[in-house]
Parts: sequence; C-alpha cells; structure tokens
Amino acid sequence: MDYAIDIKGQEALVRMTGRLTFNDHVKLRALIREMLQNTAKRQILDLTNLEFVDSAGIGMLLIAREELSNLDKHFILRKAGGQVKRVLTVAQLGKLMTIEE
Amino acid sequence: MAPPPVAALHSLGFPAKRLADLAAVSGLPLWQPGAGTTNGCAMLAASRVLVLLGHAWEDQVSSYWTQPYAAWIEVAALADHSILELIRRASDTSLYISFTTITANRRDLAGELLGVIGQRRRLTRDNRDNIELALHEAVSNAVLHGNLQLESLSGLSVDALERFSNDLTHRITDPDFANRRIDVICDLNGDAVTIDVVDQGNGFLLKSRPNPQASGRGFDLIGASCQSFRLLDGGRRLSMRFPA
Repeated sequence: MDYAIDIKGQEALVRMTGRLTFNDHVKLRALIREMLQNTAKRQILDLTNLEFVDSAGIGMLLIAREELSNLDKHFILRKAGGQVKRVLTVAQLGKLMTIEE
Repeated sequence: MAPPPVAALHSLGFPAKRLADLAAVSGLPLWQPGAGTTNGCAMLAASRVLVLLGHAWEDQVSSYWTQPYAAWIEVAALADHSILELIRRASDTSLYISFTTITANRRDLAGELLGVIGQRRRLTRDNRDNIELALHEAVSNAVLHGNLQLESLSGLSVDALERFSNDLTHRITDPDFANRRIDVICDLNGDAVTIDVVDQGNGFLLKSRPNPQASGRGFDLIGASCQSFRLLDGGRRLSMRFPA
C-alpha cells in the first residue's frame, strides 16, 4: 500500500493505492499520525486505486476513524470499487462511518 | 476422482545427496526440467511434480508456481521422516503447499495459489476474488491466531495496533512459533474447488461477535466468499468449498 496526501484548507485528500492488509500496519500508523497532525477537519480517503483490502485493513480504517473522531475530525471513505467496495459492504462499514460514492 | 499421485521430485537450494536419498526411500524419480524424469517417465511426471524448497529459494520460486509443479514443501528444519510424511500427504490432493509460519506470513500465499488454480480451472472474476479473499483471511488467521497464538487486537487506537504489531514481531522471531507449519491443501477434482488451511496452534472455537471492533470480521468475509466452510480438528483446520 502507498498513499499521498493533498491538503487544501479544511480538507485533506488521501489517495491510497495497492493492497491494504495487516502487513501495512507500519504505514497505516504513519498515515493516521499524519492525519491527526494536519489541520484539516475533513480527512477524505480516496479508494479509487486501492485494489484489495482484508479484514485487518478494515480494522485499521476503523482505528483511523476513532482516532480522528477523538480530535473532532471527520473521516470519510470515497470511491471504493470492485473487491474493496464488496468488502466494505460485507463488513457493513457504512453503519460505522461515512462512505461516499 | 482422486488426483494422480505425485510423480516426481524436484528441489531448489537443497542438497543433491539428500534429495537422492529421499527419492530412493519414497520411490519417486527426480524431475529434470526439459528432460523428464530420471527413469524416463516424462509424460507421467509432467502432471505432478513436488518441489522441496531448501535454502535461498524465495527469489527463484516464481517460475515454480506453474505446471508441472503441484506441491511445494519448504524444508526448513524438517527431518527426513517428516518430509516423507508431507510427500505422502501431497499425493492425496491436487495442490499442496507446506510452509513455515514465518514464510507464510511474508509471502502472498493466496495470490500464488490462486495463480496455480487459474492454470487448471477457468475461474470467473467473482470466483477469483472470492477464493483470494477467503484464502487470504484463512492464512492470516492460521498465522496470527493459530500458530503465533496472538490474541485479537483489542481497542480502537493506534497504541493498541502498535502493541499487536510488537507482539507479532516478538512471536515471529521465536523459532518455536516461527517454524510451526501452515499447510494449504487444494482439491480440484470434484464439482467444486475445496481448500483446507491447517495450522499447528491450540485450536479455535468460532464465536459470534455481534459488535466487532478492529478485529473479528475475518470469518464474516470467509463466509461471504465461499459456498460453505467447516472448522475441523478443534479449529486447527478450516475447510472451504467454492463453486467451480
């Protein structure tokens, strides 16, 4: 998994690529810290180019949501497709966080 | 219909003398790429070759995830009698992988096996996605909660994730845990694809978790991806069935 962050005012857009699994826990922790430290209130994770996510990846996204929520920041998942969209649906993540098309 | 038995042995980074001795005891000829077997049985061997993975094999193995190879056994610290037992097990199924925990944790076993299955069965995109996800989840469970005996991640915080990561690093560097085996057994000979993932942990009881937090969704994803699954041998063996 790789990511790039683009901050414009109150919005941070994080573009994630590749595969998100437990093996990415070090990078995910770094990403969460970056999102906690920047000043944007809306942290949008663009999943357009994420190819694969597993249950550990879902768990780490929930950790990001919880940590950001503790700082009154809003974490939004956007543009999931294919396998990633299906896993988000099966895991019923839409009940726990904002998912946008 | 039972698969044809393993017909020949090959190896990567493995002593030639030891390989010859194992071939003699198992009664299997040695496979020579491009030349058939040492007993001239090229056609038979072309269907099922077992490769023993010795030292420094990981950079070379990519060309071995293809026919005629059908079984891959990482030798590591196994004694000869244990290798012979795994060769016997490999003969009972279409595809067989036996790796140490540290290797199974490092490699993309699901993707590698999926590629091999795809050479033998025509799979739809949905079938491929389902097998890859279920197998990935099954191997992760077998590694983390089976052989490494790690508790599920507790709490929704970066600190909890870091603690879990540290526990993983600690266990995976302990040879008593890292050398435990993960076996993946795939049967392609019926009207379905069945894949079993076997670990050497303490077993596992499937419990309903109505409000999973950072972990606890693996079996939901497995259940949604396969036709049916069963936990056997006290939870050390997960058997999954997929439509062909």
